Amino acid sequence: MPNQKPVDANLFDWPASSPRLWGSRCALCGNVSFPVAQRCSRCSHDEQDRFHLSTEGILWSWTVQRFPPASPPFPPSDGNPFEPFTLGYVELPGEVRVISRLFYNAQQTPHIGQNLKLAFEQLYCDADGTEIIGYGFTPHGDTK
Amino acid sequence: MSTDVAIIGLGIHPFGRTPDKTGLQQCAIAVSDALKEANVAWNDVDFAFGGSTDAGNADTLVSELGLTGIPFMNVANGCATGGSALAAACNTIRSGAGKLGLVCGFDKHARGAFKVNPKEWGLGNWYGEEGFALTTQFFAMKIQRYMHDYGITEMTLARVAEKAFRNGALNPNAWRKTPISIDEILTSQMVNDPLRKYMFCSPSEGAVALLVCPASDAEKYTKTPIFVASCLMRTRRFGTLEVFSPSKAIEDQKTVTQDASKAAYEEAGIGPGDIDVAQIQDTESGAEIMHMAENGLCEDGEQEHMLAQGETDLDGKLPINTDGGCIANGEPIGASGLRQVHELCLQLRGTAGSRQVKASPKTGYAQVYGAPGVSGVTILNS
Repeated sequence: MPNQKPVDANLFDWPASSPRLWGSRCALCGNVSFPVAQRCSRCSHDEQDRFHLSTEGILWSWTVQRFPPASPPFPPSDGNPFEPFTLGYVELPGEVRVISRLFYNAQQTPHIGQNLKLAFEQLYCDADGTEIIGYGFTPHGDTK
Repeated sequence: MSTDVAIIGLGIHPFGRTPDKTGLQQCAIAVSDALKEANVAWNDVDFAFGGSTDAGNADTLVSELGLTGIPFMNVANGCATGGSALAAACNTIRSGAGKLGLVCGFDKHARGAFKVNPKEWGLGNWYGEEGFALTTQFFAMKIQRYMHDYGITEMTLARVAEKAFRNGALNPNAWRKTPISIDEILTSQMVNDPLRKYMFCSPSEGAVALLVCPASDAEKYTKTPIFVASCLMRTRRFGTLEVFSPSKAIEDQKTVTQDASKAAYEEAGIGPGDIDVAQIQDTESGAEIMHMAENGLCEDGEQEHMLAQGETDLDGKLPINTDGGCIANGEPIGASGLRQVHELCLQLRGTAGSRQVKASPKTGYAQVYGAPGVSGVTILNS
């Protein structure tokens, strides 16, 4: 089993039995932030409680990245051809809309309002062979 | 406002690619043209504001223009750099601290999409490693949702781009001067769904310079002063969707452009119905469509029939992006907002040549938008 680590240890725990995204809720106004915030962007209060965000959401908007992003910060290609990827904003009901990779198989297409669940995939391997894990969402349940 | 401000000299270096000149040199040329237009010397200018993102510090222009000792302040507000520089210059005139000011913006970007360092935008490196550090994705996701909510079609996206290239073909300073058909636009490469290659602007080069003075002094310099009715910028408020947002609140708020627009109309004492010609941020086709509504120039969804009926063409009811906008001029970040103001001045003077809008326009409107959620609005009167 190769070594694995999260793309950012403050986004989610990895490895973990049931990994979830970390968010924070403002102790004063209840506003939910992602990633974890030190200060509330709605009311500026500086007391924020860390908690696990919902693992289920609905697709709010999406696009496909069809050209390779500049590297860095995007991982180097290591000679492999660039594979376009899908991303979007996922609404976690009652919490917040988060930017996310969208993982689809060949039979699935994105559409606004689609039900999604949290998923994790390897983004790239770093120089010493460690697999860097990123988060995303994937369709589930009643998808048209 | 206490003292009215007039724009009394204009200069522009053509946009596009100019491999033999630095950004600063392009700006020095634009400044020289503005000085000649107003029949003044660099020695007469008593303050300056300017900026660029990738082409050096604006205040080093004094090396090209002459070491006269004036205060020259650098402005860095992304795409709102030009608008912010003009706003600062207007405030300098109004306060009485200056009598003849230079406002300039220039840039020179490498080819391809802007390279983004997430840390400069307050984001962790993970944002780039996941593949989110691209401005183009934001515009795609914003218009994707807008099309879903308001019934805007792909054809309307294409019509915006087709108009931009058609207007660019009439503008000697534009980068893209060749018309491109709707069919070519709709079959061009998909870049970020639903946006295709010919719907996007590209980073480019260029420079613009303006000279400003108290309105009471304007006739010393020109027979055709243009008056600043409003010039301001705003940053985003909670709850709006902006470039480089890892998340967005579920509650929707007025956008930063709606905020800036409302404040500008109030400052000018007019409403959207008074606008005769407008230049609005068209980073890509979708941005022009959404900014039409955010600037109060139409209701959400009306863009579909307005574009189909040519209402925003040069001979339409409300001409928009008459010089080809960002799509035909590219986007040199520091210069882009002042390009809009330059074009409005030409239209209000009635000297825009073959792209002059039909009815003599009296009031013009300019709006820029940029990362990480800033918007600048300028309203001008002839």
